[in-house]
Amino acid sequence: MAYLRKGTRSIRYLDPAVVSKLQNMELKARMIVEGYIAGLHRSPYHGFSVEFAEYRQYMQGDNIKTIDWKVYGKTDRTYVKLFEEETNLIGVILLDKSGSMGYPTEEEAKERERSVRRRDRADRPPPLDKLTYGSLLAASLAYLMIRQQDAVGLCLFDEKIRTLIPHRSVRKQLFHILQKLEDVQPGERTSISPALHEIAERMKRRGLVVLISDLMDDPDELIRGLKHFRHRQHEVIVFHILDPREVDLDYRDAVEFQDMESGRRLRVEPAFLRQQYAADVRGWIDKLNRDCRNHQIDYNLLRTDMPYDQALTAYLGKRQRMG
Amino acid sequence: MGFLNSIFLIGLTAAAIPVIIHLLNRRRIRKIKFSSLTFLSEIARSRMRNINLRRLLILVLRTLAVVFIVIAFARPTLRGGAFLLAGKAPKNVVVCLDASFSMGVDLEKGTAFTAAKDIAKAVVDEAGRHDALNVVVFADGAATPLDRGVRNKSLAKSAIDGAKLTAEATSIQRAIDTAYDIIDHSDLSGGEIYVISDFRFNADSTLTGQRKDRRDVRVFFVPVYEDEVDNVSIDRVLVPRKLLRSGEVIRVAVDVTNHSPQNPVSFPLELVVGGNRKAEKVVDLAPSASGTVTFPISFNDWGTYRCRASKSHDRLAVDDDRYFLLEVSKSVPVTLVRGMKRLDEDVERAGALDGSGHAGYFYLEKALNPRGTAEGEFAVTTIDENALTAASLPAQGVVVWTDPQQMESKRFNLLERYVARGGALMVFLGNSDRRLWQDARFLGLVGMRAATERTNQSRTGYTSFQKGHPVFSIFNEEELEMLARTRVRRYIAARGVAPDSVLAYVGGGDPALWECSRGKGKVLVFAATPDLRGSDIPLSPMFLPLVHTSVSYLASAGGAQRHPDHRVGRQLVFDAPAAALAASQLVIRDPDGTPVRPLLFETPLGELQAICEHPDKVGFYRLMRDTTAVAEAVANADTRESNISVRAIPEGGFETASVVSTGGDFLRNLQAARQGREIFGLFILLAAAALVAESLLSRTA
Repeated sequence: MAYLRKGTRSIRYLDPAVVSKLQNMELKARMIVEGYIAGLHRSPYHGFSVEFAEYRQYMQGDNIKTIDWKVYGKTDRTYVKLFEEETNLIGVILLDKSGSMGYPTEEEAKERERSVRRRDRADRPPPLDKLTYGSLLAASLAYLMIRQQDAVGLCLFDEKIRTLIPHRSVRKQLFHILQKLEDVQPGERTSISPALHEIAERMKRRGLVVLISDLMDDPDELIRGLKHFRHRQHEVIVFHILDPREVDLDYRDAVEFQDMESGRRLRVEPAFLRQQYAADVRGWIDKLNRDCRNHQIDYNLLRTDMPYDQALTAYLGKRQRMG
Repeated sequence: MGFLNSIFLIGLTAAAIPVIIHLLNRRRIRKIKFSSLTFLSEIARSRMRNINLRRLLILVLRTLAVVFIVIAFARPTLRGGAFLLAGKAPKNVVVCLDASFSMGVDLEKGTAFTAAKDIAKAVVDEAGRHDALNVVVFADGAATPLDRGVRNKSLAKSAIDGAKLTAEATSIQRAIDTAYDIIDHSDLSGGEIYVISDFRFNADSTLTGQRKDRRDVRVFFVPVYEDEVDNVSIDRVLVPRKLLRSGEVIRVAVDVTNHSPQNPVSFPLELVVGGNRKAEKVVDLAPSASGTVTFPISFNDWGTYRCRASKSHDRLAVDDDRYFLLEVSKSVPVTLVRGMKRLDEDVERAGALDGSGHAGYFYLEKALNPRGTAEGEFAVTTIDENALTAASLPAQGVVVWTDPQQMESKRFNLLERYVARGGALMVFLGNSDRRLWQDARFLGLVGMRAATERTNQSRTGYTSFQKGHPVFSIFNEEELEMLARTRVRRYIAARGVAPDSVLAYVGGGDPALWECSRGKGKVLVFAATPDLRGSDIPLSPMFLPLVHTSVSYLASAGGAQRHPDHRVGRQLVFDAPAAALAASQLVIRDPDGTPVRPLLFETPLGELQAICEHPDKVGFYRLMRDTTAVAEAVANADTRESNISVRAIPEGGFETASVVSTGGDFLRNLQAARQGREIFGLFILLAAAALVAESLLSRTA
């Protein structure tokens, strides 16, 4: 995490709360990505193309990994290889837009903002809901993919697929994707597994599947859906988005909760349930993590108060492993 | 359990606050949209009962905390408890110091009274800095040497040091009442009363219980010593004759008691008269036994003798001497009371009958004091019936009432009381007022049910004498025959006179002379008046002997009269002539010779009495006019105090009373007793425990 200390500017653009204040989705995505890259200080595009272009004499500052040692053996001079840039990856971003992704509601977010202000005496923006956080993450990934000349597609779903933008690598594709993400609103009930199966059936070529969701569904059904992608040789990254209060149930007084999808109501004393609830949620997360690992699926838990760099790092790591 | 500040219990309404807050919170519940209730509903289902129980428990704990705090501020007290953390608020501390004579008992280190003073000073030392201290020195009465409560402990100790032992009995109830009065009039609420006494008398009889309206006052009984101490006391002295004459032998009886329940005693008992030992006897008494020792003594000269019955001093010395006065008379005082009214009406007629015009009292006066001098056998004082006063009724003499008329009620009361207390009365009924024959009180006094005036036509004399009776026993047959030859002309025929009390009859069969006992006194009644209208007896040579034997008999008659027994602490009334009291320069000398100002009291009949209001020493008190003693009186110790055997300390009736033992470490006992009363510390602890439990429950939840 050393890069986070390089400059305030780059850190600020990775803060979800700060980024959310920007108007334009493309601008938001660019800020995240550029902020991340500015902190990284190395090219994310290097070595991804396979088409050889020419040799060039090694100059100071070139990575020694690019030195062609065979040529050195023959000529006793150091040359580096240059490659043609071309896309070699299909990426599909699956964004869950179910009702539960709308948590926390605008009203609660403002209440939290007020309480944070009272406590810290700091002027902080309200926390993001999970859908907004996920949208920004999706936009950032799409921007990054397009920058890498990869083909990227987008799928918005709740209990079924609501929007599907097929993968393309042109610059205009980013515009389409960002437009959809900008207009996205929480939908109905969650049913991830059927959507996953349907998308898995539609993807003909091997690619990278990025699932951004709160995974509020039956874990076994969910894993079955993800296994479908693995069965078809796709690489899968799961970004599990959760609000901090969904993890620790940090409510003080008695509360009447209303389920955002089913509308069911439940009156509880969070203080009395907090411990058991947190343990149960931890158990659920651990199970998801374990099941994903068993099926070579990258699982990343993201809380909506976390910066985006963790997600981008996870993505880039995966991308690099895919070659 | 009681409360010293029960007003604070109003605060118990604050216990409703947690409940109200709880109910308000339930109503102001927030509604929040949550992503998924999958986890919550499962947990809530399994833990709902537990949660509700905990919530209820927390509510109960909060309520209890408030209740305990309120109760703690109300300063709860618990009888017989042994809890820590007593209250520190300023309060009244009243030390009641027993100065009764039983406190004069010798212990190993001084008297019990000295030990009591040390204990009292220790109690003062233990009092709080802001406590109001007061001292009550009590015996039969209670005195407060300090005008009001003081915070200066030195002042309180000085008051304790200044207390003096008395010869009075103990009244613990009076001491406690005085202490309560002090607390009632104090600015501070509540307090502690320390009764420091030997508790060796029958204290239960003087304790009636605490005041119900002051339960914030705690009473501590501190027994000065707890050992058994033997004691023998002289309880009283009895002189069997009311009139003592020189040359006569009288038997003085002295009652003594061994108060020890275990040990028999043997001791010499002596009778001291005028500073000289007159007689001595050795007395043996079994445990808890009483006895009477009789000393026969006689006096050659008339006058007032100071006497004392004494025994060797034991550990309680004050009851080992008993003082009394014996008055040996030179002559028998006789008060001749004249009934005037009827006499005035009939005197002329009576004079016509006997030719002399003299009334009955004239012949009586002549018979009792023929020479008319002050040195005769009888000292006669003649007064009118309506001038009768208490002073004119001789304690050791005889009242002769001739021709009784309707007497004023208050004077008749005096006469009745005089006879009932042992006085002697001789009545001549002959010319009595007819209305008296309807007066039940008069008829009762002279021992008959009804009467009629009767003229004896046959003019027979006295017959059927009771020859063995002292009135006639000195007469021989010839003398009695002379008496029988007298002519009785008019007399009062009495009905209902007990036959065995009749000493002589008139020839017709009516009682001529009878006697009756009223209370401790005797009444001798003659049916006829000694004038010539009634009979010719005044002219009989037997008249003078008959009057003399009758008066002498009455003067020495009657049962054993208890010698006037004045106790220390009670008013001492001097039996002095009215003329002596009229002087302004009167002073009382107590047994040590210390002058005491007498209190002059005027009775409803206008008589003056000299009173020593509070005699505090045993011995002889003299009423002096200038340098002359005009009267003398005696004060002795109250023998109720003499029993100093161990008794249970009377806690009964006192809800907040306890006994602080002086055995072992007195200060520790005192602190334990004091702190054991108030238990607000316990409730503070309970409140704290409730709050901690509430906090833990909330946190773990």
